[in-house]
Amino acid sequence: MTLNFDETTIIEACRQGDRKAQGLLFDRFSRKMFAVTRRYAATSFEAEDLLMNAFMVIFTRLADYKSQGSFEGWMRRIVVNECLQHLRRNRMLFVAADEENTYTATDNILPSHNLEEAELLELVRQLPEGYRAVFNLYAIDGFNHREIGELLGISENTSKSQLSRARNLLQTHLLHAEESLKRVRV
Amino acid sequence: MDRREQHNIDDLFAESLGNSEPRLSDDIWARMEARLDAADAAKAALPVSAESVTPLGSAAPAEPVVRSLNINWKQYSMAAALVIALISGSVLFLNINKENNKPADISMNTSGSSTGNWGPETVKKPKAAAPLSPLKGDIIDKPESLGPKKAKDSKSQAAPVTKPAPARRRNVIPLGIPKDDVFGNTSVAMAPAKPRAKAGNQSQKNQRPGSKKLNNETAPEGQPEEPATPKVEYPALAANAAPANTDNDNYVIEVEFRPTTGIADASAATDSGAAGKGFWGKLKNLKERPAGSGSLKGELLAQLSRYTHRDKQQ
Repeated sequence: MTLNFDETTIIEACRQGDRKAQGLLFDRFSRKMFAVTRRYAATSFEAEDLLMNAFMVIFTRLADYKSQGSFEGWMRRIVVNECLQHLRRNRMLFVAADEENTYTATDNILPSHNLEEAELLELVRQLPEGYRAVFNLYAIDGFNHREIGELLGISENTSKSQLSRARNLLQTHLLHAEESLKRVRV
Repeated sequence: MDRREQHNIDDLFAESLGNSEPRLSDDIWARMEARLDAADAAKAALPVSAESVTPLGSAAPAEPVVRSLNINWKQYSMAAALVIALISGSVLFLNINKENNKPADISMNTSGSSTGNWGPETVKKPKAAAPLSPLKGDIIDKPESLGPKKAKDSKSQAAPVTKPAPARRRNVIPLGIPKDDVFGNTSVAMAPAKPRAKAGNQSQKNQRPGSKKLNNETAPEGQPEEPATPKVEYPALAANAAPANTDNDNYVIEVEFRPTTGIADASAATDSGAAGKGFWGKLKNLKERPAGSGSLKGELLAQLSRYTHRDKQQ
């Protein structure tokens, strides 16, 4: 049993439609879930809209939750699905990447870790939709290529190639960002 | 890019973005609550399951309409099934009845089959006609009704009792219709019998001729019975009469009326009556016989039985 008493009580109250309990649950998990949605969304406003859609689904599907496993993990899965549905709905998923923007990381330059969270998030948002989704799912949300293939309706090899291209793009963006920082410091 | 660099990039982004808790807008809960209220209102307006509730701004849910249509289709299908069952049942019932009313099966239905013989093709064998109840004053030949009289006859009358003739079609004279209207010119043949009818009991006068009512029944007790005169109604037809009742006191000769032959016989008898041949001739001889020459009734009965015997032989 991974839920403590407070979470269980809140979840049970939310099943009964208690608005206050729903507010408590939203306050507790909204930021973490917003961190997920903003990685998939292009803007913060879009990320908030996706967050609210995801919480509506969570409130209506609380009866399906069997109290087995992590409640946060269950919520995160719903949020990710909602983000992918949004991408699919807007046909933004797997748009062919522009070959001119595809960089090949030939040099072995490691990121300097000096970039802020917002700057890293901005690098991710600059990725094409397909690359970004596969990278988020694999590198941050912890899905494997088989699961990613099922979620996105693609094969495992496609997922792997998309991830590889996403990494190359990110590395290239990181190098350009490091050079920019060095110029500023100098 | 080697594997170590790949993991470094993944770890860099996972550590930085995976565990972050960015700040949300201040009115995010107010907007969220507005969506929840709208969803509850929609749920109250349409009693559907919670699964069908979709957030505002998304496509309108079509499930409530489908659900109501499902209910209607259930009712419609039930009604249609009922109607089909009724129609098929009635058609089957009609077919069965048609088969039962085929001509080949008519003989089976004459004994009163359970199926209704109401179809247009129904051919019903007529039942045996119920015996007509004897009307008062009618002329009816009913041999079995004479049974008790036979015992009496055997005691007192020596005249031969002939076997009753087989039943024939009998004519019934309705009450209230003059015999002349019915029998036409047979009144000519009746003329010789009239004087004898006057000699009968007064109670017999009120009776219609040919009535089965016995004099014994009508005569008051203690009064001496006059010997009943044989009532030969329509004597021209007496040749075709049923076997005579040989009761000395009371009897009725019931005859079958056959106008053409009767009239022919009567005319023939009248023609040959002068020579004393034939029935009418014999009857004339009887009437003109000398007094004390014997019982008129006995002779008449003997004549009748003789003629009857001759008819049978013919």
